[in-house]
Amino acid sequence: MSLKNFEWETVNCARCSLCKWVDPWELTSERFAKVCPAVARYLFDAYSCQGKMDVASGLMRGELDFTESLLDIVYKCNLCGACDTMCKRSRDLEPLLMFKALRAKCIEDGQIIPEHMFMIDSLKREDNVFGEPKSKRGAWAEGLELKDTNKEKTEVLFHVGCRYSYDSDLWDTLRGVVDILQASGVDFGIAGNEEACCGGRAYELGYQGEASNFAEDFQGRVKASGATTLVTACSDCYAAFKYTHPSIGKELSVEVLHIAEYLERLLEEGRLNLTQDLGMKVTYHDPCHLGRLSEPFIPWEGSRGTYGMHTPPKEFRRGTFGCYDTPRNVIRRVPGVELAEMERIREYSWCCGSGGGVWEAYPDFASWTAAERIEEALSTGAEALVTACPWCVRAFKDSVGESEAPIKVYDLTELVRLAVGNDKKKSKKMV
Amino acid sequence: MGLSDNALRALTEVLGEEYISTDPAVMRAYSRNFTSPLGSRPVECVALPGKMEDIQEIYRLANRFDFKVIPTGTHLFMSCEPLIPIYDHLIIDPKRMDGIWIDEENMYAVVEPYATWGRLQVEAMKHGLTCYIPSAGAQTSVVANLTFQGYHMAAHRLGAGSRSMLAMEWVLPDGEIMNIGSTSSPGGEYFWGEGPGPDLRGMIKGVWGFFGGLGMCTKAGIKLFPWPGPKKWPTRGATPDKRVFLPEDKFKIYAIGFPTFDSVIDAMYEIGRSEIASVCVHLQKGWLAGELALSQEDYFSMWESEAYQKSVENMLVVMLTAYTSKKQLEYEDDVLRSIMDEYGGKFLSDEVQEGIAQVLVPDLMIRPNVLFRGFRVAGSFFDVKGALDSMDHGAIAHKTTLPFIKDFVKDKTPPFMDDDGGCHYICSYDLGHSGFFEMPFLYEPDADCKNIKTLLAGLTAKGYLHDARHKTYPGGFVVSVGADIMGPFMGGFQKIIKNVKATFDPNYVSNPGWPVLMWSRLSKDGIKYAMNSYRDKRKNAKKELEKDV
Repeated sequence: MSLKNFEWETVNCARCSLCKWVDPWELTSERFAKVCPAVARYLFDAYSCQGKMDVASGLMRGELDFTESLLDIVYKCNLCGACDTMCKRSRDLEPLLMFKALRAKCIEDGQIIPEHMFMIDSLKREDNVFGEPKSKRGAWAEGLELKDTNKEKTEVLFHVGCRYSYDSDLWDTLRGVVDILQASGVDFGIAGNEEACCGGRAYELGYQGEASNFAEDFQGRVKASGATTLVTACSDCYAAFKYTHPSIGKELSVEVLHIAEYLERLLEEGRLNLTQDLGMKVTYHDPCHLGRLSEPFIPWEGSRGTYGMHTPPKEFRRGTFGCYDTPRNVIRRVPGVELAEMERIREYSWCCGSGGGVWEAYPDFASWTAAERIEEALSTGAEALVTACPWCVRAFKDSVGESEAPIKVYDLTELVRLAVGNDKKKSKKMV
Repeated sequence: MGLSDNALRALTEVLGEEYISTDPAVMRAYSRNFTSPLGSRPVECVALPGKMEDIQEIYRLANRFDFKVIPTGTHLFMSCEPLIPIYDHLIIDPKRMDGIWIDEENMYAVVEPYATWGRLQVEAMKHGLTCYIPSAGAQTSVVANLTFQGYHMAAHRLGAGSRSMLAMEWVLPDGEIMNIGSTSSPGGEYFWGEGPGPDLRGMIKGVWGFFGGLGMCTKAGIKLFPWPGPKKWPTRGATPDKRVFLPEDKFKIYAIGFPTFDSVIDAMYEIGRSEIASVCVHLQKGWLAGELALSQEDYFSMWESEAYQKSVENMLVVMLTAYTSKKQLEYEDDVLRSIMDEYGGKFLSDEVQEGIAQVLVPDLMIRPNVLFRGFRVAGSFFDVKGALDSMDHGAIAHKTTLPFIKDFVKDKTPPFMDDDGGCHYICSYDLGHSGFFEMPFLYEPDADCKNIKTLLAGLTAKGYLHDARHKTYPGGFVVSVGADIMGPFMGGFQKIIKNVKATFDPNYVSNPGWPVLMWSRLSKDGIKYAMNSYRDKRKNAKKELEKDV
């Protein structure tokens, strides 16, 4: 959607500042009351949701020119959607969609920041955001002899994503997922070197055309694999499949599940048994893309009329129906694990700092954001911070590495893998 | 354009480069709020002071380099912007000053200017305390809200918001520190406003303050009250349909319908005389729909239903609170029922009761609210009138103003809404000793602010004359030109305010134009504004020419 479509939003933002804070009904302490990393870090209102509304309005009205500082405001934002959730607590506006349209306008007008240009070049050249060779995408699975969906049909297509594919520190986690799926008797396959980026990041950066190409390509691959279910352990990819692709008319014809949802299903069906007592107090971080950003796309075409009313009436994605309970249900089923919640959870979760191209372009900001979350995790007294997205895991591991904070970082699948133990036979094969 | 290089250099030295900006994109975010009276205004500089001494320095530099300073809190209201065209002004954004300290034993908190109501209350509740409940919302600055006025709907028991402020530390427009109340003694704490030591609260703040025209409060003691409810807010449901379930042995919340509007007011006085209830507010018909609507369209479908309209007619909202015991609750309940019998009050339907008890009262009268829902309904609002006087005064003002508003909006809907004063309310203050009424008027804003200008030109100006005729003076909302118009009818108060302003702010640096216009200064600054604008226009034209060449 073009930025012009959001003029009503920019005029009608009341500048109430609710976008900066956790819902007052859910607030539990003054220390962890902020919800927007950008304005918390950079302080000037311009970095907040409301500020970006004003900047967009300035650009639309020709009262602002593109400057380095303006691009800073636009791109020093994780697109985590927390402000959008808060705005929609009592308004019918679409700030997050407006931010994406604002980024698209920047690209359209040739306002590109070098770090993001590198990502886009990498995507075009190597189908991943890191600039790594495409030929190495499946390296993590070497020796595992997994079903290749380019050659064989499969029931479940396991999509790995760029972060897992190229971050060798996380390969053990990925191999753990393979162990779990195999132990549960799942018929699954991977696309290996032929796998490509989901395009979600390109869309967030404002490169909507590139994102559309990736989405279209992905549709074809999924169809060719014969899979009926698509499973991914990456929350970014999950949100792309659940929301971004359908929003640009590239909906997948298969069931899309995050690994957390699939694990819950396996546990409920009795195909996976968790037997090892881990004796651990953990806390859980809701990844933005698994939580508030993963609500399915709700199609709507129409216009605003009198007082800005939608014709036809519009149903909003308000962030409340993301995947929140499932990962918690899985954690609770791990023997000996106690879940201690942080204060900012579910739709009010504080971002890990990686989203929206911030990790690549503004590492200091990403690191600051992750450190804030680690501090919140420590306040629960947990020994480990569990999450369900490789981007979050990377951000938190780096943060803990820097600060030497006394807390371990696990992906949810790692926790499950530990609880399965070495005796894979304890998990039942599919009959 | 804007502040001089020397001024900026000096400010940067004080604050550090990271905490000062003149960037146009950054400035844009400070150029408006929903009340922007004359549309968005360019800002030249924003400063982020980290401590009181920084603010002192900013004011000293303003006097030295002749620029204006606008102190803000969370930037919600019109006082955060200059009322008059001023050329070079700096906005103080106090985000780095957000401290909250609670003294449980003495039931008060000390807060810095960026401490918000939401953050204060959540900490207070951990100590079995609560604060006054601002209508402006949980996200607003405690200090800014109270130095303005701080209207609220829980005032029947908790009293006027402005009286919540105790001792204060205040930076005056010349950079001097003024300590008020108990902090004025060496080593004094913030526990009391009247003393020991001088109490200048009435002068610098009064009913609704100086709009930043008299410097900036940098620390304040805030009165806290007993909170018999749970430490954690008992919420259920998901946005936008969240509800709160308070323990029934501690709170009884009622929506009562009366046969006439006058009987509502009579019952409110009687409730006050009987010294029962913690909340006693008459709400017009739009409030419940606004709070319960799941979307804007949902609001209108509710509002347009005859059944809904009838269900909330002449409604009084009452909350009883067991501050001491269940027996107290039972006693107050008995008294309330006898008052209802006397004035013909009946409990409204179960559906209305649930909406009031689970959403409206928790949101507006117990927890600092999420946001005035009128924003969702039409986009924005404007207060036609509002005054802290008596409930009777509110009733007369409501009755006489309604036809006047209807006359104004005919042929103007949209952008203005004719909702029969659906957002008006009358609230009992201090057990009925005084009353506050407010008349929010909903409208859809437009990019060029034509709608708000029409409101200001039409409704406000005519409203003053209407008030003079009916003697329904809007004791609160009389500022700027309005103060000059209404002042002679109201004891000449504007002259006193002008004297105070001239004494404390001789160089006219702190938020000029608010709350009264200093006409002589206005012409001086106006000439300066015109000359600077001309200079900049020439400079820009020259630059453009050079570019073309």
